[in-house]
Amino acid sequence: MRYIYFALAAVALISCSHAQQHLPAIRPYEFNDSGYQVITTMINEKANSVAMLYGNKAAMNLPSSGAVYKLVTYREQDNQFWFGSYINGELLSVETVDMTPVANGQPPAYQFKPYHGATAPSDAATRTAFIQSLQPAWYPCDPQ
Amino acid sequence: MKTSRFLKIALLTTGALTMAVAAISFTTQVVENPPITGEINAPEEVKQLFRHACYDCHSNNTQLAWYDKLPVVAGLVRKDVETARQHLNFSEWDRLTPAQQQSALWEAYNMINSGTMPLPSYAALHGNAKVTREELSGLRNYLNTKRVKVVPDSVKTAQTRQQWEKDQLPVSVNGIRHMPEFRQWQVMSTTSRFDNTTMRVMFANPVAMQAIKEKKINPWPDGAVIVKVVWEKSIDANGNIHPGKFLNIQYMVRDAKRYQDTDGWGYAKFETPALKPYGSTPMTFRECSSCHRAASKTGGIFDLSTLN
Repeated sequence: MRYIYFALAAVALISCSHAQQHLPAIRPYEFNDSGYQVITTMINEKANSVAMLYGNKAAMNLPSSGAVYKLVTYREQDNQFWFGSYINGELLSVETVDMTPVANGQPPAYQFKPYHGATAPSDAATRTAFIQSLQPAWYPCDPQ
Repeated sequence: MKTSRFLKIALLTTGALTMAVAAISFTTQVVENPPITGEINAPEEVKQLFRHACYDCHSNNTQLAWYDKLPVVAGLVRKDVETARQHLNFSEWDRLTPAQQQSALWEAYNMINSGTMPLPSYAALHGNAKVTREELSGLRNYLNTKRVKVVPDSVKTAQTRQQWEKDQLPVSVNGIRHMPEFRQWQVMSTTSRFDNTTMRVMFANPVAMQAIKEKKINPWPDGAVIVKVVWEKSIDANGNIHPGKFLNIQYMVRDAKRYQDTDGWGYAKFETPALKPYGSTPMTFRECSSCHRAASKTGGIFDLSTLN
């Protein structure tokens, strides 16, 4: 009888582990867009990264003051479910460019927030200019 | 003696003036009566009503009383007749389209029934213009034979659908509509394809996003919607790749029952900036679901980032 319980327990364990194999580990969403909307996407194959540029409402309705941009950079990784595709993987950094100080004649505020050991870029002014230079992607509807 | 002489002159003058006015009234043509091109085809009692109540103004057979031709009055009458003929002319009924004829008949009834026509000022002086209850009821009976019923019309149905697609939001043949509100949704993932030259951004609606966070995606809950926006890659001088030409926007809408033929997901694709719906029959989308079975581990969704 004891052997039967053993066997049943073993079967139960095996089936559990089997089921777990079927549940892939989905990467948690570390970046919260907080109502910001997507402006464009940029792939850097040399750096093996992909970045999403977001903007607040003011950034989406140019020209306007108070625009804030966030460039969210991820490492590219293989798409586990489709060979032939890279997908955004580990979050590397969030760069924020706040245009508010410009109204007082000051340069835009730049902030770099690293994730998972990414190092800050050397020049804030260069990064600010680069982020500002990104053109919006064409979407079939306006961000409302 | 002086008074009687004055009276004589006055009487003579009045008489001459009256004769002159009467002569003018009988000979003046206030309005012309152009040729009749084609009259209304209706029961005799209906035609009779129109003839005596409307024709003096609304036809090319205007017959005026002598007092309509008096100086000053003639000018007013001419203006009324011209305006009336312009609005509706029973002598040129054949020039109206069937729809216009139909509309004119119902308008005529309602104008008479409300007492707006014949013009009360005209009816007061022209006793024969008045319409009796019996006559009006005759016209009503005639109109009852001309009631219009809506019948099934595949062309009109198609037009209804087209106007919706053109002026509103494009709809796929399986009923899935383009949802511009996806721009408010969270980004689910972004992919860079190397089996072709496209790049994509996927958005998940709140139901789908919640399901991902709670790891309840096999199966996904009804109401989950995932949108995929697809562009050609465009590379700049520094080697950075950006979204170039927009190719299409794709939808996966979860409704296990409604889309059971396609494994519970409704598929739709809208192509080019004009968002032309892809596929001519709902069967088209079976090819989508059969391919998506390769992602059965994640409930049919390919583009989820995993902890590798």
